Amino acid sequence: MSVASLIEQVATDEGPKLRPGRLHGLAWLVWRQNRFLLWVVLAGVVAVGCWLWYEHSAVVAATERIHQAGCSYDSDTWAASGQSCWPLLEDVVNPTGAFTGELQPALAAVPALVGMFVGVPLFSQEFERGTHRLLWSQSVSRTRWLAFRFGAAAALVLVASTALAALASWFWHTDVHTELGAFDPPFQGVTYLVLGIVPVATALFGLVLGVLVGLLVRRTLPAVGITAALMLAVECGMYQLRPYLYPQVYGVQPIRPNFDTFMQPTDAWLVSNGMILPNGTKVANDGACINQRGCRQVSQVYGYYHPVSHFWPIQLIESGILLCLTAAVVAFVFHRVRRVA
Amino acid sequence: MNDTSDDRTALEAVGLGKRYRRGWALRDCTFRIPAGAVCGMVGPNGAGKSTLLGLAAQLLTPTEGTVTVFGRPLDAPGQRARVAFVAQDKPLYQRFTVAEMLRLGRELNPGWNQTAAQRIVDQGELPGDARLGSLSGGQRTRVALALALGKQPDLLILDEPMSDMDPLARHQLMGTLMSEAATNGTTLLMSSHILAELDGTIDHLLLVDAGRIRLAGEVDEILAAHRLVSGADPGEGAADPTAGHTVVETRRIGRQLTALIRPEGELSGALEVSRPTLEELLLSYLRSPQAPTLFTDSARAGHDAAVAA
Amino acid sequence: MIEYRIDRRSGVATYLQIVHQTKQALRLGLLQPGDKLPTAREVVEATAINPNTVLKAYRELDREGLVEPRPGLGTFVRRSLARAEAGADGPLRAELVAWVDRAQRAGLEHEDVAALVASVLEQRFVTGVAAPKREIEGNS
Repeated sequence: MSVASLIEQVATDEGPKLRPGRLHGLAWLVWRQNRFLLWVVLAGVVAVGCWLWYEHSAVVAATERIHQAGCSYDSDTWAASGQSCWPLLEDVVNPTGAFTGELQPALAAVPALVGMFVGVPLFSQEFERGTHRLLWSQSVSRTRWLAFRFGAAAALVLVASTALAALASWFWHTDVHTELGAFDPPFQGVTYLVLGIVPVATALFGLVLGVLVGLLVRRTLPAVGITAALMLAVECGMYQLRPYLYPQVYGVQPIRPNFDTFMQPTDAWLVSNGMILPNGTKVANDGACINQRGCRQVSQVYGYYHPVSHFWPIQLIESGILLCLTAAVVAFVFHRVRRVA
Repeated sequence: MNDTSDDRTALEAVGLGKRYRRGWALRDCTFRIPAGAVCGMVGPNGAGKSTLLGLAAQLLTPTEGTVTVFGRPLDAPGQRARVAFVAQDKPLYQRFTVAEMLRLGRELNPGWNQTAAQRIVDQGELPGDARLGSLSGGQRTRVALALALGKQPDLLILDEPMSDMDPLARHQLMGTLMSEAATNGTTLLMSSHILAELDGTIDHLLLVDAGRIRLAGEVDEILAAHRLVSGADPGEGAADPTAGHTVVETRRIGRQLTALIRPEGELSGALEVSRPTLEELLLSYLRSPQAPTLFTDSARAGHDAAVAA
Repeated sequence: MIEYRIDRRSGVATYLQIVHQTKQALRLGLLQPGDKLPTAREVVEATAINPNTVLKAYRELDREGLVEPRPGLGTFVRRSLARAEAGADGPLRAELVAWVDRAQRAGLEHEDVAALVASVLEQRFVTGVAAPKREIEGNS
């Protein structure tokens, strides 16, 4: 908040150059109604950017120190170093841990927040104060108004979520995924949700979902709650659906002395795995085998997984689904707004 | 349905009805308001006045029937600019300043007249940089009216326009509205449950009661069609002196009989006859839900079409 | 210029009030031939009455030949109703003032004088100006 007001302050002080004072018609109204939101979102993106840059510098400096101390990334050196290398690693683990532990969950919540605080108020705030009757009594048609209002919100969400996704992807690639001592495969936890184009598509869907709920429920507070619940449901549904969006790879490995489960390739997403009995039946790796005949003679394990190369196809398909849903909701909202009082 | 433009009919409803979840708010409304009329819509609370105005302003969609403005549906191109509507609660953006509110009017209406809008705001001595949220109810009403008049509509629809204004501001704004009607020929349609507010200002009347239209037409014609009669009550069994006339309401106090009637032919000589005031007439109708409806010629839908044909 | 005062509770039709007040002004010489009456817009803005009422009143005055509308310019007074005798400095007024003074000295109250004058007027002007109420009746 304070950052937002600070930025607004700065913008005001810099005079008319930053203020689009020449806006006309609906563009002016949309700007006038949403300038505060615009500054808040802008401030949020800038804050995330600054924080990531700061953490990135810390990781770079820490890596430098590790190399100077002769603790290169090679397990033998590491093991031989004893106590001397480990403390240095702290300086890398702390920032990357903050990214995976704090920023990633926060960014994963952005689409729901967009729905709750950008989407819902678009209608509910007008309804609650009766100002929709003021707006819709002017000469511009309500579909035209909606197109501007919706368009502006969508543009803002598109730009902001793209910027956040780009920042997160950049930091993850340069500092978390490839750097020393870091471990964060792309499919794991909420990592997948903040990388690539899925966060952008989800944010757009969150926006239109919030708009729809605001239009139907008409009151802000319940609409915010319902939007949050629906977004959670959609994300859970997507999580269940995600493994089947693209054909999984099937692999078979011989059982090894100390390791009796399937080993997926680096960064791959192991969806399911189990043992293959001598008679060829597959038993999922959930303990069912323990008392079964033949389990002791198992010589092979199997696994279904998505290799890291499936990351982009799955992202594209998931985004496609979300954008189709978004388009359907937008069409419904435009249809519905003509009949609403 | 007549789809051609009609400059003599400001508003026409045919079989108009609106049903909410709790039931019909308005049913079977067929009437016409000629262009240039200053039409008052009266009726008790909950009679359906706001619903009818909302339908006319196309904020509500009818459940049945149609409503047209100057012969065309309101969603036809260019029609929105011809109609202005001020809702009962005078909705405005609380965080906007007065000047910004007028700018909204200017940005969203092609025929905007800043001078007309500014004049109304200045009359109330409202500073342009005052936030709407800091204004009194009457001051907000003033801004809402400024916004509606700045649009320079052909039909101005006002729902309980003056309910929260002091007498001076009410008089001033009513004067402004009347002068608007006089100079631009703007048709005014306003609802009110304060009868005194309307007397002398309106020339057309719509009486809405329990979701139906009960009286519609020129005030003069409606008044001229009625007589207030009083005389000695002849008592049970005797010939009713009002027999043969359309009786709106009969009241008996002691041996005195008073009735509002629509005379059909000669009146009995035993009766004292006078003309009702608008207020007496409306109160009689509101007290007698069973009284027959009355539409003058100009208030009948399809009136001009019939004349033309 | 004349300013109309509209009394909504008087029971007298609004347009008749305008007609009466115009005639009154013509009688007293407040309006002279050639004077312009206020436009309908000016009247309604000041009195908040229906513009058609003003137009109706002006038509009535026009019908009686007292005013004439000049398109694009306004409505103008055509002839006066003022008589020298009725003017503020006329001899008849002076006589009346003297008479009222006498009545006052004789102990008559305001109401007594008014009643006396009304009854004499009633008796003398049998076909004279009717009471406003009957005039409404006669109008339909």
